[in-house]
Amino acid sequence: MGEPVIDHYADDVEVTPEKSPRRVEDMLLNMGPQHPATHGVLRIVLDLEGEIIVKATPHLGYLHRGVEKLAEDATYTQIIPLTDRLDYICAMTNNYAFVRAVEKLLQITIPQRAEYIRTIVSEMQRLSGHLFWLGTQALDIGAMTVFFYTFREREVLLDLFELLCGARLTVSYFRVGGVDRDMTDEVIDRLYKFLETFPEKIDEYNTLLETNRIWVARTKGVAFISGKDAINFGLTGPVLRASGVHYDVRKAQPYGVYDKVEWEVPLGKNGDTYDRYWIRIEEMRQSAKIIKQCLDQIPKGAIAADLPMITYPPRERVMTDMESLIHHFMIATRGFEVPEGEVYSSIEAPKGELGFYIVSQGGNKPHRCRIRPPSFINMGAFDHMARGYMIADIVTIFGTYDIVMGECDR
Amino acid sequence: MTIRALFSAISFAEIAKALKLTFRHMRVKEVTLQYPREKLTLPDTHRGALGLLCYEDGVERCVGCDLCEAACPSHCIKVVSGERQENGMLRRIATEFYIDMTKCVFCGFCVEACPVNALGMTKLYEYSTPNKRSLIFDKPKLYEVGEKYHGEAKAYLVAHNQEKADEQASRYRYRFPSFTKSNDVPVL
Repeated sequence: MGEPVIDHYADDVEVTPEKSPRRVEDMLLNMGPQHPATHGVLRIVLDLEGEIIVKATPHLGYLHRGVEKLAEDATYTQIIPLTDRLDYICAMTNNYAFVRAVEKLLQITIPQRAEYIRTIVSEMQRLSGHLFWLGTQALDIGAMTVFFYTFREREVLLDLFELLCGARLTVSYFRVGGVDRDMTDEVIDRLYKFLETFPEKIDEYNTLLETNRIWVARTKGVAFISGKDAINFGLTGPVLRASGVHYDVRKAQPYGVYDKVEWEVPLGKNGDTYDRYWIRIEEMRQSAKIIKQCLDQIPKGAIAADLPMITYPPRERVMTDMESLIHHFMIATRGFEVPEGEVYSSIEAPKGELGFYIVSQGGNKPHRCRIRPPSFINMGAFDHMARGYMIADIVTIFGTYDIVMGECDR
Repeated sequence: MTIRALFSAISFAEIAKALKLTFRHMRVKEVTLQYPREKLTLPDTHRGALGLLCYEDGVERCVGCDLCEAACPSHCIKVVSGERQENGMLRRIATEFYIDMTKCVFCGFCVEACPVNALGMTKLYEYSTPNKRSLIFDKPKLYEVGEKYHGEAKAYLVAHNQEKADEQASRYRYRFPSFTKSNDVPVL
C-alpha cells in the first residue's frame, strides 16, 4: 500500500501527546495514485488508528485534462469526442448528456428513430458499465472468475458498438440533431441474440456471488450510508437507490423513449455494498427489458433531423446540389450558431446523474461548459462512508461508487 | 440460524454450486484469441488509420479544401493547398498534407467533412514504431496507405453512407469546373 508519509495538507490531524508509557499515535498511510485497485489515479491519505480508518482524505486531480476549458475553444460538434473521454467506460451516455443539452438550447426535436437508437445504445452502455463494475469489484475483493465472465459479455456489447459506429470505447456516435449512423439489421439481430442468453449470464454471476460467504462478508454492511445522508451528500445513481431513495432521472424527467417502455426502478434497503450489487444486477435486467421493448417498437425513418444549418445534409445531395455543398462547407468550417442562453440538462448515466450546464453567448462555441460528473459528487461522501471500517475494506469502499477518474477529474 | 442455513454453512454448498458452474465452463468454446497469431475480423465500420484515396484513373481526389483541418477536434491535420497544371487545365490540389497520428483520436469527423470522399479510414491499426517522427504521416505516406488499403477505405465510406457501392460510385465523383487560368471563365 505504499509507505506512510506525513500529510502536510491535513490540518486537523490530532497528535496524541506522549503521556502514557506506551506511545500511541495515528498513522498516515498514503494510498495511490499508482495503486492498482484505485481504478485510475486516485490518491487517498488514510488516517489510521491501528487497522481502523479514522479519516480518509481523497486527493483528486491527477487525471485533470481541463475538458471544461478545452470545450470553450471548440465548436459544439468538436466537443463530442472530448465528452467520450470523461467516463471512458460509458462514452455513449456522456455523448447523450452533452448532445441533449445543446439540443435543449437550440430547441430542436429529433426524429423518433434517432430517439429509439439513442435509448438503446445508452442502455447497452449501462449494461457494459455495470458489467465492468461487477467484474472489477469482484476482482478487487478476490473473486477472479466473475471478472472473466462479465468481460466476456461486455466484449459482445463492445463488438456491437464497433459494428455500429466503428469504435469500441471512444465512440463519438451522437451528433447534435441525431446520431452518426443508422442501426443496421445485423446490429439488431445480434443484439436480439445477445439478449436471449443474457438473463442466464446474470444468473451465472449470481451463482458465483450472491451466497458466497467471502463476498457476503466483505460487502454486507460495508460502506453504509443512510438515505438521508445520501441525499445530503448529493449522491445519485445506484449508490442513492441502494439506500432506498426513489430517484432516477429516467423516471423523474423522462427523456428519450423511457416513458414509452415498461420498466421499474430497483430499490435497496440497507444502503451497503451488497445492496448496490443487487441494484446493479437488477438494473441490468431492467436494461435488457428496455432494449428488447425498444427493438420491438423501433420505427423506420430518418436518423438525423433535417436542419440544414445544424446537421450535415445527406451525402447524395452534397455531391449533386450546390446549396447542400455550401451548407456542408458552412457546418464543417464554422459549426452552427447557437442562440444566447443558459441550459442545464441531465441524464441518468450508469454512475448517476450526469449533467451539462452550457452558457452560450451566441456563436458556434460555448462560453462555459460545466459538467456535473456523478463520480465527483459521489466522491464527496467518501470520508463519511469510510470512517470506522477496517483498512482492508477501503478497496471495497471506493469500488462501490463505480468510480472512474476520467470523469471525476475531467 | 436455521438448521438449513447451518447445514449449508457446514457443507459449503454455495462453493460447490459455484465450482460446478466453473467446471461446466471447461467445455464451453473459448472466446479469447491468441493475438499475434489470431486476429479479429474487423467490421467495415472500423475506424483505423487514415489514408488518402485516388480515383480509379489515378487522379488524386483531394482538392485541398481544408475542411478536414477545420473539422478535426484535436487539430492534427495540416493541409497546404495549391494549384497544378493537368492536361492543360488548372486543378486545385493539396500540395502538402500532414496527419499527426500521435494526436489523432479516430473520431472520423474529417472523413465526414470531406466533400469529395478523399479521406478514408482503413483497418490498419498495427503501425507502432520506435521512431515517433514517422507517425506524422505526410502526403506520400497517406497516399501509400490509401493505395494499399483502398478496398478497406472504400468499404468504410460505403458503411458510413459516404459513398455508394461501385456501380453508383461514378455519381459520387465530383466534377469540378476546370479552369485554364485562375481568373478564366469555367469550362464545364
